Amino acid sequence: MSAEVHIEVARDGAESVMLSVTGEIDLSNVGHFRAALDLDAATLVVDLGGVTYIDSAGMAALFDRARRGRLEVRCQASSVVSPLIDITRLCDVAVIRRD
Amino acid sequence: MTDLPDNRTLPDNRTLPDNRTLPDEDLAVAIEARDWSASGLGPPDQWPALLQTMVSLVVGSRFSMWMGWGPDLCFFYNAAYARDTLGVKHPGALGRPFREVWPEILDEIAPRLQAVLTEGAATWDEALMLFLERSGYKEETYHTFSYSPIREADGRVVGLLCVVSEETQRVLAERRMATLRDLASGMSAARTEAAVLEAASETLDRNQRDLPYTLIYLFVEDGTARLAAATGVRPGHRVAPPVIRLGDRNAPWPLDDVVSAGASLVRAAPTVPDLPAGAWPDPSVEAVLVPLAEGATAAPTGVFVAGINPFRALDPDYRAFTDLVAASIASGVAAVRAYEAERRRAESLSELDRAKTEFFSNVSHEFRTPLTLILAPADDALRDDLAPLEGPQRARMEIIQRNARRLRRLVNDMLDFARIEGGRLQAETVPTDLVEYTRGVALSFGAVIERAGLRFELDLEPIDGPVHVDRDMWEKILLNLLSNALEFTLDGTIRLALAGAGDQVVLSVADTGVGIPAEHQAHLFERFYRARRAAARSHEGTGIGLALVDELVRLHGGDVSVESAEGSGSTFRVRLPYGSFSGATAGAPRESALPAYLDEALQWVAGAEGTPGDRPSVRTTGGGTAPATVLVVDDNPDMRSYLVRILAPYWTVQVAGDGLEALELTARTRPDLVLTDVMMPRLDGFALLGALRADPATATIPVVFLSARAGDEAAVEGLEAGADDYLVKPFSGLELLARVRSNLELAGLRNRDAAWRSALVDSLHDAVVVLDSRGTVIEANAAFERILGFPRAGIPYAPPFPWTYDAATDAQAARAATEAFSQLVGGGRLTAVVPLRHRLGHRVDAAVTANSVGEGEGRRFVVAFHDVTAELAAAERDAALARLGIGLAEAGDVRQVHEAGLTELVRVFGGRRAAILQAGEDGVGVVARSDAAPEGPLLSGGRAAEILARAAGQVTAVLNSPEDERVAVGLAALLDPGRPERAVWLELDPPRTVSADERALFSVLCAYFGQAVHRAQLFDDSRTVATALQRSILGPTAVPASVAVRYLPAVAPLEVGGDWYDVVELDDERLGLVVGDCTGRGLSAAATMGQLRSACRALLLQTESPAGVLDALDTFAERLPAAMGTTVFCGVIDTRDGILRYSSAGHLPGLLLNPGAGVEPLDGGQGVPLGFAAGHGRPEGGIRMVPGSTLVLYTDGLIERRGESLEVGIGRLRDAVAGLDRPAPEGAADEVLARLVPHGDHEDDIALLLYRQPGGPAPGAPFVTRVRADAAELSGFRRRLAEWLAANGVADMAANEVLIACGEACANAIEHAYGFRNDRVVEVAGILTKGAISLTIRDRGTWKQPGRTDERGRGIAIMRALSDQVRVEPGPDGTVVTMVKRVGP
Repeated sequence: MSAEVHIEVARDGAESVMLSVTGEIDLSNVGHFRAALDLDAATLVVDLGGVTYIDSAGMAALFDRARRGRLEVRCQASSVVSPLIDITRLCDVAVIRRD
Repeated sequence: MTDLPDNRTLPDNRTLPDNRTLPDEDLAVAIEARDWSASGLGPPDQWPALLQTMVSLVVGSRFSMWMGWGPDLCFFYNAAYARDTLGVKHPGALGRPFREVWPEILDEIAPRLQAVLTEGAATWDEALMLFLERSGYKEETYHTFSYSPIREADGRVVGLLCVVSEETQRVLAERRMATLRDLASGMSAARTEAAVLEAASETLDRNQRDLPYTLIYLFVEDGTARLAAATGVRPGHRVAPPVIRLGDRNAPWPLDDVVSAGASLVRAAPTVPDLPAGAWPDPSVEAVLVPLAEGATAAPTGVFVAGINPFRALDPDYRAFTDLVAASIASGVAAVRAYEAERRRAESLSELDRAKTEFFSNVSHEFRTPLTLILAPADDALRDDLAPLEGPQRARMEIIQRNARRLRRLVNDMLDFARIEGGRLQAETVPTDLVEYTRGVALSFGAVIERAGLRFELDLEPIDGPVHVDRDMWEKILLNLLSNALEFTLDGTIRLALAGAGDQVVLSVADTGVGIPAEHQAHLFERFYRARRAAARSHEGTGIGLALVDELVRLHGGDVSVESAEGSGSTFRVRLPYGSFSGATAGAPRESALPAYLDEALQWVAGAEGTPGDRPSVRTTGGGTAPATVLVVDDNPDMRSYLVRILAPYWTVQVAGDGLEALELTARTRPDLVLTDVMMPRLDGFALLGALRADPATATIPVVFLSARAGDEAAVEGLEAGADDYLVKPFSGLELLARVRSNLELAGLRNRDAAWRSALVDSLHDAVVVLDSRGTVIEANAAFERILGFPRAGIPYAPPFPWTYDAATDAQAARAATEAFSQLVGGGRLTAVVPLRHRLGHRVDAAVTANSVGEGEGRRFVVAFHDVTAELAAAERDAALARLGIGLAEAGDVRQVHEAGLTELVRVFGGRRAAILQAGEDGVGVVARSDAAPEGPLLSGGRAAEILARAAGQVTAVLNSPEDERVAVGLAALLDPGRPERAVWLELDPPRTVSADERALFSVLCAYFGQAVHRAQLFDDSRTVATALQRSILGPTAVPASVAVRYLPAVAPLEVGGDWYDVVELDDERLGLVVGDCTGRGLSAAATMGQLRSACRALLLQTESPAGVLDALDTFAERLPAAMGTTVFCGVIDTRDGILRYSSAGHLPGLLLNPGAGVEPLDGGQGVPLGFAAGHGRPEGGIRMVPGSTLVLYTDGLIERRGESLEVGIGRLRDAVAGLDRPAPEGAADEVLARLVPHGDHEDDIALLLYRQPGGPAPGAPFVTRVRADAAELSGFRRRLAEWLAANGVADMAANEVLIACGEACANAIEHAYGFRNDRVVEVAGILTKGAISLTIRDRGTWKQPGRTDERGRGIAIMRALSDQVRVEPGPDGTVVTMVKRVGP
């Protein structure tokens, strides 16, 4: 059984797309996550507030997206995602908002 | 393009820092090197995958552990185990069957091994004592260990893992510490040597493991040592002879060797049969001998002998222990010996003191008779006018008289002391107008002070009601303090003040003298203590006066204190309670001490002035009925003394040198007759006569003229002028006596009518004043003086009167007085309350009634008034108190009382704001204030401290404005007179004057306020106590991991209730689970709950049947009426098979949450609440809880909401618990509360109990799983790992981090080692040891050149960052990743 992830897409004008992600992201469903990140937008906002698990494959997808355009990642400061952002230094290539 | 993290290299061993190296290569090498062919396991590369995984896990761990594989439990272990436990058995033990490794403990351990291997049940042993032979002898050791089964994927138990920690050092240290602690505390209470030894023996006897036997020998002076105490050995045994002679070579113990060595020695026990063994099976064959000396240098008082534990080596720790035991005993003995010596010394001192007092008492008494026999003739000789002493003889006799009096005074003081000490002198307290009494004594002495050139100030504030004092004693107190002040004050001022302060009267005598050095102050009130001071009037003191003051004040229940600064003077302060009537009738008045003190003081003064003998006569105040007073006025001193000599034997005589002096004297003393010369300087006899007649107060005093002028003319002139009689010089003494006597008698007759009238008027309680037509006061009675303080001697008083306010001081009062006066003069009548001003400045509200008589010049106004100040003040006070009372009654806790009280104070006094100041450890702070929106700090710390100090010193402290002394910026008073650390502060803005009444009102309101605060605090305290009590009896907080409990008291302010829960461990498998709810609230409900809980617990342990327990509780409730109606759920769960039996006494139904099958209520076993079913038997329900199911028990506070039925509430709970079968019970309990009372807004107490039937992963067991190389398997793997972590109490962030780190390792293996070939398997094993998780992830794939290096590097970085240790070991057969993560404390 693959990990379950749910991604909602909201387009904010032509420039900006917002992804609201809930569930777990691992090797089994990272392709789905990557596809969502490939959406065409000048600025991509990814809200990981509902993510309970993410592994290095998921983080790699974020890095790849950051290489192609402006990326903003939102997460909860107390969540599992927050330390991973620091460990992998995603914070060096994307705008991070923690609340 | 942004820089990527610099972490892309493939991991290998070189990238691991040294400190992350795992132990221990030796064992891994040893395993490799060993020939396994004989073991039956075959070569390692053919071992089953699980064995390989487990071996690498064990060997890689730093925690001491071993593993047994297969039916023989083939032995594997790690370096920590080899070092800590195996000792010499390493490396021989590797791969051997367990029974060969540990034959000596096989009997003890076998049942545990059996349980693990056959039933798969884990075991846990804490600090189990095992005798190990690992150091070459049989050794006492302690180990804490758990055995967990190792299962294959199919559930078969194939081995056993033992995580062990050796705790020998801890157990020994605790045991020894306990002995040392008990030894010290046991001996500390002992007061005799015997008690010390008994306490020591009792303690030592309890630790027969470290001290199989002990002997305490104490040296006796005759060169022997006596056996003072012994433990672990029977009396008369040959190792413990009662006496050992020092130097005796045949004695069992060489005590002198120990003494000469000055340190402990180890000796073999004497070779006697039947050596003591203490707690051990084998005898103790060695002993340590320690000198009993307090400190290294002290001479030893004895020797401590202790038998050594045969199963422990006498290592430095052990030796230090016996040394400490000996030191403790030595110091106990030394302390008690010192105590006994001290006590003997104190006894003999107090005996000496008593004898001394007795001696003084006897001697003093014997002194009195001879002294009287010296004084009486001396007095007679000096008074003898027939044969008067002349010149030097008189002077000598005066010296005799003076010193005899002084000696008599000292003897009397000594006798007073003796009586006080003997308890024979009691204060005969009688109600006394202390102000007037004090004034009398003080003025007498004040004259001497002024004579000495000092200023004497008297400040006597009115005191409400009489003070009960022994008047003689009070006189002595005053005189001693005043003469002491005089003695040490050479210039400046002596000030005596008396005032009421709360429930006390405070007398202070302040001087500007030499002061007292600080080192002397503490001893000042000790008998015979003389603080030598250079500058004094006399050096003759005995050091008894102040000590006597101290004793006399104590007899009144008061105290005396001194403040003094060297060079600037001293202030003595006496505080007396108002006291009560002792019942003693004022018996024969004792001899006044005044003359003696005056004599002595006058002597100093006279000495200073160099004019001895020039003193006022103080002996005219003889005893008996007071004789009439005759004032002799003459400018010729010889004539004066002649007249005095004639008159003095019959009347009290005063003298004046001229008319003016005479007028002053008459104003003060009102003589009965004035005998005056006609011709005098300044004011002659006629003028004197005129003045006397003009004053109504003196108009009736008979005046007799003495004149040198003879003839009728002169006589007529004198008589016309109004003289009563006329004597022409020379005259005989007899003639003079006759004229004076007859004039006195005539005056007596004449004055009788007038006296009667004036006595009548004077006796009126109301003031009566007569005004003439112009409004001038021409007559007044005594009450007038009393009420307004203006002397009648000052009459006439013309308007504006000094007792009306002027507009500058108080415009309103001034206007009221002016209006009243014009109304009187205009209309001739008046009825009004008029504010007047006492001479001392305070306000007097007078209720005035006035009428007029006569016409024109002869018109007179008769004005009567009385003082209603107190009544008006009382009315205002009552009103304010009532308002304050209403405000405080509505307040519930201390904070609200503070608020209400402060607000009311601000309102009553029109202040700006009020606050409560309190002294704490870090200064004085504001704990409550009336203004809700503070504008910065209310007061600086220094200012607050000053205010508090002022409040502590006065009933109501008035803080004046620094700019203007007359107005106050605030008032302060203690909230509770007994507690000087807390005061009320009222800020007045703008500053204004504060009357005495307002001060009094403020203090009364503060006292009332203080009581309210006190009551509120008591209430708060009792609530806190009740809460603490309930907490303490609520239930255990340490519960098994399968249970979670919560207790929430109702919303703040805390209310206690009767809810409770309990978890009772009946035996290894069964738990009693109880939740109950008593009716009622508060402390009584909590108390009832406590009793029920205890009863229920006891019953559970006894009957184990829930229905039986409730049956018995019914009977209990019948005897405890408060328990009637209590609802209880009582259940017993067998944790092995999940069978729950339960019974409910009217309690809300428990809920059962089955994993994946919803929630069902437990509706069996329902009965009525407690106390209504006694004797009928109760029903019992039963159900089997499947593994992983959860039982939820609760009280109504959890679900009850206003205006809602219970069913709705239970439904909400059912919804809330659904799905909570996954989190561990603790987490589930938190979740239930978070869902049902998200904001803590419950109105009743809540008790909640969750029980989870074990199943799934058992706590303590290793985690072993296999993951197919398929990414889709990862989430299932994570769920299993999460459950295992939860079952082992690892939660939250730590669990998440383990999941992520381990998930990375697995994902790496699946992706890179196996390339997603899903017929391959990743093996994962984990164990939880004390505070850490070790995980091993093994694959058997081959690593291909990875396509995405940064991604893998990132994975490793994540693993590293989230673990404490990571090791990646690639090999030809696959890769092993080992990670360690610390969890918990």
